[in-house]
Amino acid sequence: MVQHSQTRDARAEPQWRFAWRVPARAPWSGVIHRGETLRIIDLFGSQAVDTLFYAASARGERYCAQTTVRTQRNIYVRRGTVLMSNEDRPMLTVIADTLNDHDTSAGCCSKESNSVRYGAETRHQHACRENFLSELSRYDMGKADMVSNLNFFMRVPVLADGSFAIVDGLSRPGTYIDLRAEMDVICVLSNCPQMNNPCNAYNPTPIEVKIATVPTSP
Amino acid sequence: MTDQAAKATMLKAADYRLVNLARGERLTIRNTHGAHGVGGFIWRAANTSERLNVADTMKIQGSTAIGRGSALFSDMGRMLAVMAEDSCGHHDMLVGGSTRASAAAASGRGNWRPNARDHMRSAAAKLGLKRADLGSCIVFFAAVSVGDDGTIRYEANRIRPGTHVCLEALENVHVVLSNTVHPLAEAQGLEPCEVELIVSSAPASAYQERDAFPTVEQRRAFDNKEMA
Ligand SMILES: [Zn+2]
Repeated sequence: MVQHSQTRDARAEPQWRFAWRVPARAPWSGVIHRGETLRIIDLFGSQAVDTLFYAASARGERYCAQTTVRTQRNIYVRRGTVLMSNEDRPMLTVIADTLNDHDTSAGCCSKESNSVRYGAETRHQHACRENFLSELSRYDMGKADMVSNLNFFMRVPVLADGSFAIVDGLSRPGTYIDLRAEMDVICVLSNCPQMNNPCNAYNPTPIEVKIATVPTSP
Repeated sequence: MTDQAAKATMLKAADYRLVNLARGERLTIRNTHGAHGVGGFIWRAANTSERLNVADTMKIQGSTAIGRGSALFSDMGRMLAVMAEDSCGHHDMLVGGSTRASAAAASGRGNWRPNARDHMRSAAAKLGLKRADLGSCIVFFAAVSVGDDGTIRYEANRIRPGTHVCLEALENVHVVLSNTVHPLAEAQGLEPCEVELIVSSAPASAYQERDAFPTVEQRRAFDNKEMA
């Protein structure tokens, strides 16, 4: 019985030091300290969240999708995935994930790629790249600091012939992912405004980000 | 346009090379001995903040597999180069090149070995660029398969000696090539071997006209050529 109550205590609601509802189509950034947990919640379901991480102490060190894929020998991000930097160091670990199989190979949407994928008439639409650039500018960072990002709650299966396409999201309202920081990091994300493919179910919606002072899972 | 005398040089095993290509010029990599990987990265010379974007390259063309007729896209909705010829058929953009950590793990004793990331950092520095100016790269002549569950595997038997790829520049570009084996091949104990590089002017049949491109996406990217 004692064992049981200890388990329950360990799973008690963590102490959130920060919580913020990110409006549909908007960017967000924040610092997560080593040992803290970042939770990203897909409040209404089927909402892609394009995310990048930078080492707070030296921003040239940043999330590297290819190093992450190589290190875990798998292209999908899921519980247990260690997000690696371009210096081969662990940045964050996925410690809880109620979805699994998030993309990290398809990059983010941009006005420029929209004009190519969907035609020049879509160039005026807002895009993740614009969110990243404006948010990065607040840290005196720019276009060079943008690399292949994480796409939380977005599925991009690779088929045997190499075909690669964004498919309908399986993420339900309230789906979340928890990332424990292994170093002090700056998180920069874009609540994806894309309207031309199913990554947001053609309806961009708000998400929530929270930061806990301790890991939320063992 | 006449095909001018082509310049051929050897790129030794574990060495790298920075090649400047003018719009219309071609870079051929001849994999005579069956090297398992030649890492590549590309900057647009007129504005090096514009560079290879492997995510857009895969997403726009709907495939992780590129080959003859596939373009290499920048982050600005433009094509930097097109793969004008390809007799290999296996090129990787999901895993990328070797790094200090992958090389140290493969050496078994944690030793430093030449690796694609260090090569590309040096090449970037020689252009006055920094580590931030490098993004995810492509590895030519590397056969990576993806299982249903996302597991990646290296298929060494798919790489044969005597194949080549040819890139035709669609902008003035800087290309860095790192002749180091793909990290998954490196983990299997495979060693680099020399490849031949040939720079030549494009033949008249080249991809300098909009109509040369088969897909609507490539034609739209061609239309972005003149945008700022
Ligand atoms: Zn987006």
